[in-house]
Amino acid sequence: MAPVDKDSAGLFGPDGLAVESRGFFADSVLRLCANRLVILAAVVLAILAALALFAPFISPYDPMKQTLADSLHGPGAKHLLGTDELGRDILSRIIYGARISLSVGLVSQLIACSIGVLLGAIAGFYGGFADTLISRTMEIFAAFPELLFAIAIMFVLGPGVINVFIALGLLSWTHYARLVRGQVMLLREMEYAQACRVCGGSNARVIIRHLLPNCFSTIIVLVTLGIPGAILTEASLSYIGLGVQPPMASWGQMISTAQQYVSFYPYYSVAPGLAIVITVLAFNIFGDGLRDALDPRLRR
Amino acid sequence: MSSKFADSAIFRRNVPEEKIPIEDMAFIVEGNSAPLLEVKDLKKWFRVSKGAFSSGGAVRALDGVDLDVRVGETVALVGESGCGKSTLGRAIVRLLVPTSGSVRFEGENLASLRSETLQKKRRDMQFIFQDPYASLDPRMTIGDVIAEPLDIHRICASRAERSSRVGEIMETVGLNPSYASRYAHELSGGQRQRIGIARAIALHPKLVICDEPVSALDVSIQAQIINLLKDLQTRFGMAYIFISHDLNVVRHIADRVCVMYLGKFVETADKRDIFGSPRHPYTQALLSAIPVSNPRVKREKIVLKGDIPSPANPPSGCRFHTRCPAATEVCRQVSPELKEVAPGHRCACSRMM
Amino acid sequence: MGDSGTVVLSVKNLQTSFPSRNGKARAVDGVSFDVGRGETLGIVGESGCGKSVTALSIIRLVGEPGRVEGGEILYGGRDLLELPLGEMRRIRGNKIAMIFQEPMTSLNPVLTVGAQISEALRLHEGLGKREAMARTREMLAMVNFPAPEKRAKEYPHQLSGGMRQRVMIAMALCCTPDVLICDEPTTALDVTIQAQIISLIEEQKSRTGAAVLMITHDLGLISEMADRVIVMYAGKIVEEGTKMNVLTNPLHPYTEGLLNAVPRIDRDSGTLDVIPGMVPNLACLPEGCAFRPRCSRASEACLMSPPRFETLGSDSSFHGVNCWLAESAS
Repeated sequence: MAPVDKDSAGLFGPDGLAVESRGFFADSVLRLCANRLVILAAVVLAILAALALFAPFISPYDPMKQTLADSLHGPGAKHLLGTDELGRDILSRIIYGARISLSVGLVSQLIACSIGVLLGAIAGFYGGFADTLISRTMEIFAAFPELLFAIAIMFVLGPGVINVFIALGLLSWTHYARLVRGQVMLLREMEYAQACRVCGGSNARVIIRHLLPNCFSTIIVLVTLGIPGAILTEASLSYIGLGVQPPMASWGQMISTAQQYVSFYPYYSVAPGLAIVITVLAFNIFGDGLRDALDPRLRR
Repeated sequence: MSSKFADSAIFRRNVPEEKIPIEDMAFIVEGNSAPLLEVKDLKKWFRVSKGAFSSGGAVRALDGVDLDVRVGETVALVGESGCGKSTLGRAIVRLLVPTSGSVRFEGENLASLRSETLQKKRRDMQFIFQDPYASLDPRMTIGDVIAEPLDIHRICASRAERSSRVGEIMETVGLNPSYASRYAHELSGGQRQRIGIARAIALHPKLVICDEPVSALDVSIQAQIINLLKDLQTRFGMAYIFISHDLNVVRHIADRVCVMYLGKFVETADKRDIFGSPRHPYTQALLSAIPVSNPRVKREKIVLKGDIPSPANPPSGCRFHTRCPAATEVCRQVSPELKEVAPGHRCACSRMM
Repeated sequence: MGDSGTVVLSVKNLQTSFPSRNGKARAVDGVSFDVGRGETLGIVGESGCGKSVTALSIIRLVGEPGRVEGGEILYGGRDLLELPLGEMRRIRGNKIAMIFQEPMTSLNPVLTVGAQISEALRLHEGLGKREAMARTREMLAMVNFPAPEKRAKEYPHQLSGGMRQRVMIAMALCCTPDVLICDEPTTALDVTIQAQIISLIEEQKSRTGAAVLMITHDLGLISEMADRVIVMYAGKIVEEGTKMNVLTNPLHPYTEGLLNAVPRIDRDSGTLDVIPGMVPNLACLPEGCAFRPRCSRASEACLMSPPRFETLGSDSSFHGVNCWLAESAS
C-alpha cells in the first residue's frame, strides 16, 4: 500500500513549489493579451459594440430626422461628419449603422454556426449515409458564387433585416459544417472519446461532452473570422438595394446612396467606407490573434 | 484498506470479506460456474479498399481467438505490433464490433444485448488506455474526468456526494484529492495514468482491460503504476486483461499468459510454464530477445530473421514459418491448431503433435 | 580511462541549458567522459535526465532556445564547440554519425531511401552519381537489407520500422564514422526486431572499430551492449564505471533504485521496489543533492551541498559515484 501514496507529492516541484493551475480559457486569455495589436483590435470592437448598444444615447441626432435645408453639408461643428442628401446627420447614421452591421455579422454567423455544427457533427460522427448526404449538400451549397447565391435567396425571401440574417446564415453554414465534420472525425478516435463509450456513455454524450468542447476553439475562431465576411456581404446586398431598406441606416446602403454624390461631395462615402474597413480589419486581427491563442500546439 | 472508500456501497459488492489470495479465488470460481469472460472464435477483419473501384482485401487483425478469464485473475496478452492484442481488447469491450465469434460476459452474449442493456453491462468492464495524454479530455478537470462514469450511471444523488466520492477514488489511486479542480495537462505522465486508472475503477468493475498501461511511462514510474494495479486487484478482486509487449512487466503481473502472433494465439499457459518451459519457437525467441540487466547472466540468444509479415497478407500454413528457425515443409502448408501439450498449457505448433 | 584503445572523443565539463519560465534549466550540467576506439559507452537515465541533450550537444544540434554554454568536446585534437559551422557540418554525419529513436521523422518522406543514402555519400565522400549508387547498394546489403537493388527504390513509408532503422544505420555508417551516437535506437521497435538491430550495431562496430555512444533508458540493453556505463540524473553524472561494477554493485541509490524498479525476467518478486516521486523540474532543482527528495538514505549532509564525484577502483575496473554516502563510506 505504501508506494501508492508516495507519488502524490509529485505535483509539487522538488522544493514545494506548486505547479500553477490554469484553465484552458485563463491560459488563452493570457496569451491573447500578450499581443498588442490584438488588444487594439479588441478595444476597437468593444467601442463598436458600445456604440451599437447605446446608439440612442450617443448619437447626436435622430438618424431618421430629415432637415432638407441642411442637406449635403460638409463636416463641421454642427454635424461632425456632415449630412446626407436628406439632411440627416451622417455620424448618427453610422452609429446606428453599427447596430445593423454588428447584428448582421453576429446573428448570421450564429445561424450558420448552429446549422453547420449540428450537421457537421452528425456527418463526422456517424459517417456512412448521413455523411454522404450532408457532404453532397455542402458541396452543392459551396458550388454557387457566394454573392449570387445571397442575391438569389434575397429575391426569394424579399428584402429586410431578418431575411439578410437568414440569407447570410444559409450562405456560410458549409464552412462550419466542413470544419466540424473533419474535427469530429479526428476527435472521435481519440482515446478520451472512447473512454467515455467504455464507461457506457451514449453517442450524444460523447458528442456533447467531449467532441464539441474540443472543437470549440476552432468554431469561435471561425465565427470571428466569418463576421467581417458577413458584414461585407450585407454591405454589398444593401448597396444593390436588396438588404436593409431605407430609411433604416446601413453602411452599405449609405455608400450606395453616396455614390451619386461622389464627384462633388466625397465625404459622404468616405465615412461609411472607413467604418466598414475598420470593423472588418478589427475582426480579422482579433480572429487571427484568437486562433493563435487557442491553438493547443502553442500552449506551453 | 481502512479508507472510507472500501465501505461505500458500490465497492462492497463482490469484495471478499478478507483478502483471499488470487490462486484460492480462482479455485472457488472454478468450483461453481462459468468464467467471467468467455471469448469464442473471435474474428475482426478490417476491409481495405485498394482504389476507387476495387474492393481490395481484408486485414485479419484478429483471426479466431478463444479466451476465458476467471474472476480476479490476470491474463496477459503478449505479442509484437500487428499481432492483434489491442484489437482483441477493444473487441471485448465492443469499442470495435467483431466480424464474427462471440464474447460472453457473465454468461451473456454481448452482441445480442440491446444497447441500453449493453450500456449497463459496461459498468462491469472498463478499459485503461496506453497514452496518458490522449486518453484524458483536455477540456475537463480531473474531478470531472473521474466522475464521468458516475455521472453516466447516475450514481451520485447530489453534488456533495459526487465530489466526496471523487475524492475517495483519487485517494485510492494515490492522487491528492485537492487536485480535482485541476486539468490533466498540469500533471506528469505517471499521475495522468493514475487518473485513467481512477476512471476505470470508479464503478468497481469486475474486469479491467489494461492496454499497455505502462509502456509510455518512465522506468521508475512504471514500477509505481504496476504496484498500484496489483494493489487495487487484491483490494477489489477485479480481473485484468493485461495487454503488453513487455514480457518483463507481464512476468510481474500476470497469472496466465497468451502469446499472440498475427491475429492468433500461438501459446497460452500459466505464467510459470510460459517463462519456465516455453514450447512455441516464437515464445522462445521472444523470451530470449529481452535484454537482461544483469551482466553476469549469459544466455543463448535466438535472433529471428526477417520482419513481422503484414496481417493484410499473412503467410500460408503456420503464420510464423517465415521466421521460424525450425520450420519444415509441413509448416508451410498446414496451419496448426492450439493443442494442449501439458495441463493448462496450449501451443499451436505442428512439431508438438 | 577506458580499457580499449585510444580516446576518440572526449567531453569535458559540458554545460547545456534551456531558458524556461522558472529560470534557466540546466539540461546538462558539467558532464565529462571519454570514449575510446572500439568501445561502447552506455548512457542511461530517465526522460529529462539530459542524456539526449548530451548527444545533441556533441554534434551541435541542440534545438533553439537551448545553448551549449561551456565545456569542451575534443575530437581529433580540436574542440568541436569552437569549429566554424561549415567545418562542423563536414564532421557531422561523416566522422560523428547519429542514429535517432524514430527513423520515420529522420528520413525524408519524398525521397527514396537509396537516393538519401547516396546523397550523403556524394556530399561527404565526393563520389559520382553512379559510384554513390553502387556504394548505396553495398551499404544496404551490409545492413542485411533483403533485395537491396529493389528496396533502394522504395520510399520510407513503404518500409517497416525495423527496415527504416536499418536505412538509418546504413546512412550513419556509409562514411565509416569514428563515433556512432545511438539515441534510443530500438525504443520504437518490437523486441525481436530490437534483437536484430542490436546485433547489427555490434557487428558494424567490430567491423569499423567505431566508438559507440549508446543512449537508452533500458538497463538490459546497456548490460548487453556497453563496456562502460554512465548513469545520469537531472543533468549530472551520478555514477560511472565498468558495466560489471555499475550493474552488479551499484553505489548510487538512484542506480540501485533503477535496477530494482525494473521488472526483470530473471527474477520473480511480489511488489516492485519503487523510487518515489518523479524527476525534478530542471529549472528549480532541490538544494544539495538533486536526488535527495527521492532518496531513501538521504541525510543532513545531502541537503547542504551537491556531492563531489568520488572515484574508486583501479583504472581497469573504474567506478565513480556522485553521492555523499559513498564519500562518508570511504
